[in-house]
Amino acid sequence: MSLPAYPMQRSDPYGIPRQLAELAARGPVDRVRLWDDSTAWIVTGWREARAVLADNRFSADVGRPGYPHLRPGFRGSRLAAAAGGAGGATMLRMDPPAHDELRRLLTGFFTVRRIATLRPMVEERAAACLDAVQAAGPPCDLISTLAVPLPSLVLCELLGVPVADRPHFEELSVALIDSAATQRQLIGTLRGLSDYLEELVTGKEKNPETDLLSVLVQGPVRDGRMSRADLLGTARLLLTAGHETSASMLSLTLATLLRDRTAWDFLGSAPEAIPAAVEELLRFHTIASAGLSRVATADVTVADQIIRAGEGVIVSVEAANRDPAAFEDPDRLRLDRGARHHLSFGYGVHQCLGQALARVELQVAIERTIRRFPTLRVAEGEGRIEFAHDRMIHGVHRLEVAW
Amino acid sequence: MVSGEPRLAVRADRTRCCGSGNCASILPEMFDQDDEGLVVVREPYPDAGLRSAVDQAVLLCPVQAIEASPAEPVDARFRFGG
Ligand code: HEM
Ligand code: SF4
Repeated sequence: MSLPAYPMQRSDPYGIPRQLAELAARGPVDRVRLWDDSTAWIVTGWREARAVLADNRFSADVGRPGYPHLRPGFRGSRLAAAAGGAGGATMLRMDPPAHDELRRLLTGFFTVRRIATLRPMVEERAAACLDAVQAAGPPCDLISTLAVPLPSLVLCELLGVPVADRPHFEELSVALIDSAATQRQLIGTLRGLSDYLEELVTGKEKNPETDLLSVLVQGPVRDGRMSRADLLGTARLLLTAGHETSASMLSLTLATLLRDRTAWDFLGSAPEAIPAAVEELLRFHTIASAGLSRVATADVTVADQIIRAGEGVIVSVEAANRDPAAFEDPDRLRLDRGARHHLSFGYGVHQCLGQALARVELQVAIERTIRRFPTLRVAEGEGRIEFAHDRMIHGVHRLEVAW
Repeated sequence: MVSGEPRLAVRADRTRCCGSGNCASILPEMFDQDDEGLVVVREPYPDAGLRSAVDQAVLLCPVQAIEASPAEPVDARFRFGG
């Protein structure tokens, strides 16, 4: 029997692809066929997914032979490609020890305490987005007014994008996640982005401030621990890894909470339950739905299967997040289940660097939206919600609401 | 404090830590991060009542940098002057 094709088609935005669920039910490790007829291992069990992601014998280097490419060209793996496609590798696709050296220059900016100090700024930006929703009046699309701009505004603040440049920066970052763009347009956008980041960094070199790029320019870049190319690559990575991901997660969160009024009303009356709810929503909508790809650099046994050096492995975090051994009744959204051990931010040395920031964005957006529009609902009529099944990152194109 | 009250011994390997912040986020009274984002154990001999919370931190650490074991009673007495 031929192997199932991967990635698999999703038919239900609130579930994982049926074929993937079937595969996961057969066992934690299996094989799939990719677009070019090559085969790769797929890991669907929670325990096994953690084992692979924590094992440095699996490389994240997209350039290594055997690395599983999910689609031709760089449209393929959006995270991987946007990160490594336009010049230079970024930490996302590097292995230890080089990965760890680069990541350590960044971790200080993303500590739980440091990110907590950004919460008032995120609240302010969220309030501004909600003002725009109010001003637009019903029906209003929450994706283009809140879910997409909020993470972009937060990144501007983090990276120190001057106010005057923000429209240009936002235009670029929206173009970057436009799923209707052709490959050619996307290349153009990436070039525009590289040019802009170059200009931004040059500005920081001349007039350093207190933002992340300025601090890097004055410290590690000046004393030689970080090359200028790595700085530019890092700026690009933060944008590509920190915008579409948060925007998609925010979109799916809003769609899900509006679908289930009890959840909306519950979180409105008990805002202290929001952090736990965010973890469950992250589990339920594992937006890195294409999975995390690796290639074995040695023979490694995972759940009795020998994965040989040079073979590709796809860790399906969305399947692992619905492993009944780790989450009881996994297809049910249970906001208070205690889902913190989900794999939506990955696991191992690459585990999401921006996770504390992503949590704050989600928590603030939920709290502020419910408080401001307690009666918010999906607008009446056809086609008010359009899900994005065509992306490597699972998300929502349009969500029109009324109040 | 009751003399000989059972305690845990918690260690974190800063050479492994990747600064994920999971420990500091779920158990801030036990774990912190320094300016570079690396783990700092604030309370290396916590009360054994924290066992399940500490186990959760061990489970969540993406690079297995945290270890917890029952402390030797003498340790606890020495440190806490019981
Ligand atoms: C809900 C939102 C987010 C989700 C679900 C998410 C998910 C992920 C995942 C799954 C990985 C690991 C990829 C792998 O192992 O191959 C990752 C890595 C990363 N993320 Fe996020 N992310 C989110 C938001 C953010 C934000 C807001 C930022 C920064 C501003 C960010 C920055 C990064 C970086 C820099 C990496 C690479 C870390 C490394 O390779 O060491 N992410 N993210
Ligand atoms: S959970 Fe592990 S990797 Fe993350 S900060 Fe704590 S010790 Fe470091």
